[in-house]
Amino acid sequence: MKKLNLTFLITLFMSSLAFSTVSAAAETHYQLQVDGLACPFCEYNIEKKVGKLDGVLKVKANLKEGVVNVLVADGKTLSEKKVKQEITDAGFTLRSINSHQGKK
Amino acid sequence: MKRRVQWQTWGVGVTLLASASVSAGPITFNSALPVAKGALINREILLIHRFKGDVTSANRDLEVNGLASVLVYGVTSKLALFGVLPYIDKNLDINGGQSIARHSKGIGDTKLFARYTFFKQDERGKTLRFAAFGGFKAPTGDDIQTDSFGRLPIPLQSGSGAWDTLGGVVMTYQTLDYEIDAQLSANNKGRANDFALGNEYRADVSLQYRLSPLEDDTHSFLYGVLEANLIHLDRNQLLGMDDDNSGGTSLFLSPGIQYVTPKYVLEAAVQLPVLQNLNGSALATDFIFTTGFRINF
Repeated sequence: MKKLNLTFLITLFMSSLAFSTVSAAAETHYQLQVDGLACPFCEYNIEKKVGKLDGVLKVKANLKEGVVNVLVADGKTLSEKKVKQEITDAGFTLRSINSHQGKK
Repeated sequence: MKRRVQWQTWGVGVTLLASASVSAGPITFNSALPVAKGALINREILLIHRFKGDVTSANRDLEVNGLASVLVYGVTSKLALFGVLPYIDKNLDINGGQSIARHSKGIGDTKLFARYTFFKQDERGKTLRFAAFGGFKAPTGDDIQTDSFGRLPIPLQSGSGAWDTLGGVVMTYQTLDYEIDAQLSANNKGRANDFALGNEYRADVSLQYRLSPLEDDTHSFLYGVLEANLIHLDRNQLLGMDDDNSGGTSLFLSPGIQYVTPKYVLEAAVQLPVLQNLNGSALATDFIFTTGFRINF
């Protein structure tokens, strides 16, 4: 009985680990190269603009690298056209957009 | 004679109150930095203007203090609308022979203008922008205040009673390490009550140098600021005639400090006269202290 319980617990643990990995992997991380970002005041505007796009969970700008990291929810994708428009509206220039699956 | 002196000083005080840089940028004039479409920024400015001792027998002592609220709205990423509403307090003491004190306070004239960015070149961590701006100043301030000596002269009133037009161009080059802004502007003063302040022409430049280190997780900058303002005022006119005791050219140097975060900016600068080539017996500036904050909504 004890052996059965232990096996059940191990199976449960492995299942939840596998599930959480799948769940994290389903989120998509985008990295936007944005030109013109040169001060913290600009950072806030671009985070606010990109953050309102559908499916966006988290936005963080890195001034030093000139990149904006965006985490998008499972099943959602970031439209390059919409991202470009929001960045243009914020007053900056989108140079490139890259994405990969999995939480970063 | 009293009125001539006051006309000169009024012009300088109001000019500085109306400076309207709202993004991180210069403290004493405008910036070409973007205001995001749909964004609202508020800047509050406290200004203390002190004048040097009077060399004439009138022994005049003038103080101008002001608070200015600036609101800016981004219509598009290139077009921004600015509104500047000052509250001004003026005190003039004349101690030659008999002592006379004259005082006014109240809402000043409202300045409204638009800025359009006609050129921008963005690169990683840097941007170059050119913008043009133009607008007007509406006579919203009280220009009929009185005291025990009668109606105050127009330059001591909170408002001028006149409509002004203004325009200029501004350039901003911003990198992660420093920012340079330069502006050329003109302000055509209107006429009211048979009186017109002299037109104003300015050339301004600002350097903001980042003093704090830049790391991956840096979200605030501390800037050391040095600005220069070259200001020329034409002579005032009363009943169509020039006042030889008004107008002139001044050059100010302004050291300052600025703390910039994503949501707000704190700043202070003191404008010190380097050159004051004023006409006649106009009072010269001792210093102008400017401090305030900006909020990015």
